[in-house]
Amino acid sequence: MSAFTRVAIALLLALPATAHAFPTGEQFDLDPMIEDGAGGVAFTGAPRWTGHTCAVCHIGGSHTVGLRLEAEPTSLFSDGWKANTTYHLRVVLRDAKAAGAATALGDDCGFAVDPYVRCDVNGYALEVDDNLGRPLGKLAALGANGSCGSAAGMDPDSRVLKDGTAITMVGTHHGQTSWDLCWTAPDAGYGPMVAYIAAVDGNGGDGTEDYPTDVNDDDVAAGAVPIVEAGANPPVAQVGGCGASDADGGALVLILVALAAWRLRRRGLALVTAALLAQGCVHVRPRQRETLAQRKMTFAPDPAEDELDLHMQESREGASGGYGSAGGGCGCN
Amino acid sequence: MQLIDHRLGHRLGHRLAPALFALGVLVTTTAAHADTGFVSKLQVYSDSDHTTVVSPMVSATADLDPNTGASIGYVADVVSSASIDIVSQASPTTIHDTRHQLSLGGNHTSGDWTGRVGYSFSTENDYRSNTGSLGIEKTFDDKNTTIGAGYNLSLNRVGRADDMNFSRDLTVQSLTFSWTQVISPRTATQVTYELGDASGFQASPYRFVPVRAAVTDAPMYTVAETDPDQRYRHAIVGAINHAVGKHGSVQADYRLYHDTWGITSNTLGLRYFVDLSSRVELRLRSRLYQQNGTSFYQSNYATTLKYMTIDRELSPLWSETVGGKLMLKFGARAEAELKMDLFYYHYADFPALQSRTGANIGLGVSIDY
Repeated sequence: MSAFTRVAIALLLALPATAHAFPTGEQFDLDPMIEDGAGGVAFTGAPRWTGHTCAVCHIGGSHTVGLRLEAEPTSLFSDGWKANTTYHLRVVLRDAKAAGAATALGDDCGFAVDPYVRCDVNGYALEVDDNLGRPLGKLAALGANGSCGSAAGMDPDSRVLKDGTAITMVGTHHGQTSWDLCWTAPDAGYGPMVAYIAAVDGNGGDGTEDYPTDVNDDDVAAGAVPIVEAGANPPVAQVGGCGASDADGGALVLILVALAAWRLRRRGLALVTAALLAQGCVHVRPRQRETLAQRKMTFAPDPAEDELDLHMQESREGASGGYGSAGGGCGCN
Repeated sequence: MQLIDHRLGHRLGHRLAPALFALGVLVTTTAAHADTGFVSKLQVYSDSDHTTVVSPMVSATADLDPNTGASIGYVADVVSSASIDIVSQASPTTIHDTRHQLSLGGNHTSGDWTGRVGYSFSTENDYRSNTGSLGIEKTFDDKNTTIGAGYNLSLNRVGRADDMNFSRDLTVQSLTFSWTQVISPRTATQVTYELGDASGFQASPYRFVPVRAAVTDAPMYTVAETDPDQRYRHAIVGAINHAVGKHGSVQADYRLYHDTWGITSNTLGLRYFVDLSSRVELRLRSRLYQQNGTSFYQSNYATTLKYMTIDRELSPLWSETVGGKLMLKFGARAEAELKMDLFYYHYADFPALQSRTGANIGLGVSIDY
C-alpha cells in the first residue's frame, strides 16, 4: 500500500462521524477533506486497503446481513475465469433490514415526499484482485439492453471508480438490495483471483432531514470470493506458521487443559498441550479478521483502565508483572 | 507520607511504574490504530480498612503520521488513610498525600516492525521515580504471529517525610517477552513472560516491627523493617480471547508468579463482553488471586532476625474481585463508561486484620477524532 493510500485512509478515519457515509458512488472518488469523499479508497476489504471494509465507519448494525455474488455465465465459479471473457455479475445484499419499513417505499422517501420519511440507503463496493493484490480485469456498469458489452445505459446501478480498480453503487435509488455490473477478465496467466465485496445495509441516517445518512446503526457485510483461472493448475495450498486444522473450539479446550495441568503441577502435560495448541491453529487471512478486529477481542481493550487497576492491585499484593506487554493482538491494521 | 503513603510510593514508584509505563505504551499502540484520541477517567477506591484513593487520569494520543504515534498522560493518586498499618504504628490517625505521574510515549511502525519508547516521572513528598522504556515487536505469517520484547528501567529515590537525612536508592529493571498467536478467525492467544529485578531499598521507612514473645504481648522493643536488597521476579501469563456468538467474547488469563523472596502466586482472570445493543456494551469480570508469604514474613517476631517485616502484602493472602462495566457509545467517536468492582481480601496470617472489603468505582469518557 502506498504512502498516499495510507494517508488517505488516515484522513478518512479522522473525519467527523457524519462525513463517513457515502450515499452516492461518486463520493468514493471525491477528496476526503473538502468534498466529503473517500479519496479513491473503495473499502472492499482487499489487501491493498489492509482489509478495511465499510465496517471501518459504519457501525452498530445487528450483524445479520449477508452477501451473494451471482455470475452469468455461471462457469465463472465452476470452471474459473477465462481470458478476455466478460461476465455479468450481480451483488445481492441478503436479509437487509436496517431501514425496516422504508425498503418498500423505494424512491418515495426522503426529500421526495412531504412530510419527510426515512430512506433505505444501501450500497456496495467490489474489486477483483490477483494473488499479488493487484486489481485486474475491466469493470463496467451494465449496458442499456441489460447485458454486458452493450452501450452504456441511462440509469445504471453501478459506477466505476476513476482509476478503474473498483466499482460501487451509483446511489440514485433507494431500497436497492442488488446491483448489476460487468467484469471482463484479463489476459490468461494471472492465476487465481479473488472478488472482494463489501456492502452496507443503511438505515437512512437518524430518520430526520438533518441527517438523512450517517454511519450509525448500519449493518455491513463483507466477503471474498475466490475465482480460479480456467484450465490452470489448482493453486498451491497456502501454508503459514500454523497447521491446517480449524481448531476453533478445540483451541479453547486445549488452553483450558493446559492451564489446569499447570495448576496441578503437571507441567509436562501443560507443555505438551501448549505445543498441540500451537500446532492446531490455522492461517487466518486479513479478510477473516473482522471479529478479531473488534475491541473486545484485543488483549488490552482499555489500557487506561488497566493502568488504574494495576495501580491498585499491585499495592495490595506481593506479585506483579506479566501484563505489561502489548503483544500485537490480531494484527488487523 | 506515613505507611500508606510510602506503600503507594514504594510500590507504584519503583515496581508499578514500569508496568504503568508499559500500559502507557499500549495506549500509544491503540492510538496508532485509532487516529487521535483523548481519554479521561476518574477512579475511586475505598476499603474497609479506612483507606480512600481518588485517581484522576487523562491521556491524549495522536498519529503524527500514518506510521508514527505519540501519547501523553497524567495520573494522580489522592490518598486518605487511617489503615491498620498507621494505627498500629501510633502515627496520626489519618494521613493525606498526593502522587503525580506524567508519562510520554511514542511508537513507530515500519513494515512488520514496531518500535516503542517512553518515559514517565512520578513524584510525591517522599518518593521520586524516573522510568524509561523501550519495546519492539515484529509480526510474522501475515500478522498471525506477533513476537515482542521490552525493557524497562526505573530509577527511584526513597525518602522519609520530615527526615532530611534519609535517602535510599532503588533500581528496578524488567525484561518482557510476548508471543501473540491468532489461532482461528475467532480466537487469539498470548503468552507473556516477564523477568524483573529490584535492587536497593525495598522496605518501608515508616514501618517498625515489634519484637515480643507473643503477638498478644506488649513489645519488648521495635526494629526498623528490613527486606532483602535484591529481588528477582518471574511472571508468566497465558491468555486467550474467544468470540462467543455474534456479539460477545470471553477472555481468560492465568498468571503464575514466583520471586526470590519466596512468594508464589496464582492469578486467574475471566472477562465476558457482550453488546447489549448497538450503543451499549457490558463487561463482567472476575479475578481470583492467591499468594503464599515471603520466606521471612512472620506474624510475630520473638527475637531479632536479619530480615523482618509485618507487611501484610508479603503475608499469605487470597482475594476475589468481581465487577461490571457499562460502555455507552455516543455517535461513532465518543464513549462514556461506568464501572464498579467489589473485592474481598483474606489474610491468613496477619493478626491485626483478617480481611478487607471494598469497592472500586470508575467513570470515564473517551473521544476519537
